[in-house]
Amino acid sequence: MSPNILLMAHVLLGVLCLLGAVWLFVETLHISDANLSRVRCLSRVVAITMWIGYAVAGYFYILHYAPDKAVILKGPWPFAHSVFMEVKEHVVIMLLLLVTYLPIAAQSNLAHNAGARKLFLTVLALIAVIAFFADGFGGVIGMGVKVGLLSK
Amino acid sequence: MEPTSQTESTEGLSKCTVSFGISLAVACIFNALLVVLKEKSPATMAWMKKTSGHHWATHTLLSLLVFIILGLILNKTNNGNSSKSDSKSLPSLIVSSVAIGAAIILGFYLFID
Repeated sequence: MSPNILLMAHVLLGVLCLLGAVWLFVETLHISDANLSRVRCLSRVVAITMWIGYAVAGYFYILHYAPDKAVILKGPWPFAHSVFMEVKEHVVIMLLLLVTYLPIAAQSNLAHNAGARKLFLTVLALIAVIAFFADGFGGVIGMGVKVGLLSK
Repeated sequence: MEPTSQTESTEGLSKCTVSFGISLAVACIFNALLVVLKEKSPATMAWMKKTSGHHWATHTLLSLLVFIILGLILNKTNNGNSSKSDSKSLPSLIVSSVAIGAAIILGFYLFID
C-alpha cells in the first residue's frame, strides 16, 4: 500500500478516535440505563479504532518515515522531528494504554455509580486531549517535511 | 453532570477497574522513564532495536506488558473489594501519572536530549 495512503489513514483513524472520545464523553454526561450498552459498545469501537490507527502509524513510521526524517533534519525546522516527532511517538503510547483501559472502565455501572462515571470521564478527557495534541504535532511534523523540501 | 438515573450507588469501583487503573498509572510512568533510559543508555537502545527490529516497537510492547501483567497481578492479589476512596483517588492518580509522564517526555526532548 502507498505510504501516503497509510499516512492519511492514520490521521483519519486518530481523528475518529478523538471524535469518538468526545461523543462518549457527552453520552456519559447523560448516562442512563437506556444508553449504557451503547456507551460500552462505543468504548470498544474507540479502542479498536485507536489500535488500528496505531498499527498503521507504526507500520508507516518504521518502514517509511526515514526519508521524511532526513528531510526534516536537514531543513529549517529540525525541531519538527527532534522535539515534536519524538514527543508524539512516545506520548501516544500513553494514549494506546488509555484506550485499552477504556472498555475495562466501561464495565462498571456508569449509570448508577458516580465514582465509576467520574473515572470514565477522566479517561475520556485524557484521550481527547492527547489525541488533539497528537493531531497538532502531526501537523507540525508535516510542515517540517514541507519547509524542508521547499528549502532545497 | 446530571445522570438521568434516580439512584446513585456509593459503592467503590470494581476489582478489575482498580487493578488495571493502577497498572495504567504505573505503565505511563514506566513509559516515560524508559524514554530517558533508552536515550541515555546506548546498550539499552541497542537491545531494544535488536529485540523487535525497532526501538519504538519494543518500547510499545514493554509498556503494554507492564500494563497487562501488573494489572493481572493486582487483580489476582486484590481481595475483591475497593473502598469508596478508590473511586475518588484513582482518577487523580491516572491524571497525575499521565501529566508527569508527558512532562518527563516533553522536558527530556526540549531541554536534555
